[in-house]
Amino acid sequence: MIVCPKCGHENDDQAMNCADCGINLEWALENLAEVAQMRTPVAVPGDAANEKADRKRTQMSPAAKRRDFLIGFFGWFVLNGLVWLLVAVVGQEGDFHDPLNYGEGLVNLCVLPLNVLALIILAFWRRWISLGMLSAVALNLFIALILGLTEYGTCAVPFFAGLAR
Amino acid sequence: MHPILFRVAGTPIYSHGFFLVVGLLIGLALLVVEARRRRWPKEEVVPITLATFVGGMIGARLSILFLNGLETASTVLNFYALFDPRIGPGSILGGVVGGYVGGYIASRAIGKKGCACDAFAPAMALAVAVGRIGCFLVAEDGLGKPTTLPWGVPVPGCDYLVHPTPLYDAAFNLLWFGVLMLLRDHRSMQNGNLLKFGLAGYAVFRFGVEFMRNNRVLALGLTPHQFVCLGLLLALAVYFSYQRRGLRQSVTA
Repeated sequence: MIVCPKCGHENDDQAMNCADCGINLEWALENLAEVAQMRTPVAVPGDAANEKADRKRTQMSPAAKRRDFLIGFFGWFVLNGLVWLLVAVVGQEGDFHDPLNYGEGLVNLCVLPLNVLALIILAFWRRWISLGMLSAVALNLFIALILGLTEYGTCAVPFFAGLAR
Repeated sequence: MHPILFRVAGTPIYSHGFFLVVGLLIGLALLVVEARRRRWPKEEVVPITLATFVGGMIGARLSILFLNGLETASTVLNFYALFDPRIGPGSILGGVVGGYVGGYIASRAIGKKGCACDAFAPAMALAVAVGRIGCFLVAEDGLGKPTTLPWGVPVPGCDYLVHPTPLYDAAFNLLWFGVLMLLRDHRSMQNGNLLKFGLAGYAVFRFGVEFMRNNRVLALGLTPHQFVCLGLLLALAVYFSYQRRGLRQSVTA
């Protein structure tokens, strides 16, 4: 019998991977220090950082998680939609019907870094809002890929060469 | 070449987009199977996979700026253009780097200890192998440089045969997928090492195959893709040497 150093599950002698946590047992037994780091930290009384993290993890109810997720998901559409209206319709920057002329204005070019920055900051601060935003971006990318089935858009050099055909 | 694969009620379905989507879906299915086999909880799989997908798509698009030149900036740097189906996603090399960064940030944000990214390695190789069939069917980038080899293929507008480099890529990735599947339970291929080994293998292959592709030369006779491969290999060499040193120190201690 092999006791998994990560989760403590008792495995058969012939087991390659732990039947509970899936870790490679041979590797885990040879790298006990690394495996110890993988284990979820147990809150030590008086350890303020651990207690705070633990409280935060357990205090968030499923309803709160759902609310944060929806704020992130729909908030992403509202905010980016408003910026798009501001830049493309009001500001008349670029031409969204022409993929070769999206506009090079500062506001337009700031939207991508701002989105990435917001995603990263929120991932560490309000994880479920960030997950909602991430889902919104992923959904749009997936829709673009599906619509791309009917468009002759390749990654060629120049990558938009196919558009002219 | 066959840019249009088939038609559905008169609407053309293009080869490039079709194999891209099929490749991604096959990769995703394999990732789910592998994550289950590794007992990877869905609370971790979902955010890390989403972040990897979004990071990969952004990375692929941004890499065009470096690989294809500054004239692409107005489209590449525009956030809304990211969702334009008329433009291809970009380079797989940028996608790999972006996906890795996205997945890493998500792992740290959810407080994941260790690295479970090895589940991505075989999935990625298989997805690229399928996706490259689309690149071949549309003769992307003119496929490759002229050749007199028996497996050279004709491309529209040329009276000579060229290297079918997307097929080389597909064949390598199919082979690499098999290798990674065989190595996935090896004790030295755990905690992120399988993915890094997979990336190193692809970088070495891609460096070589670039000599047969039509990409522009940046400097020293090398293409921007080759510089990305060299950077990737250097980063991986530094990582593995640090890891080996740490292992040696723990053994002597």
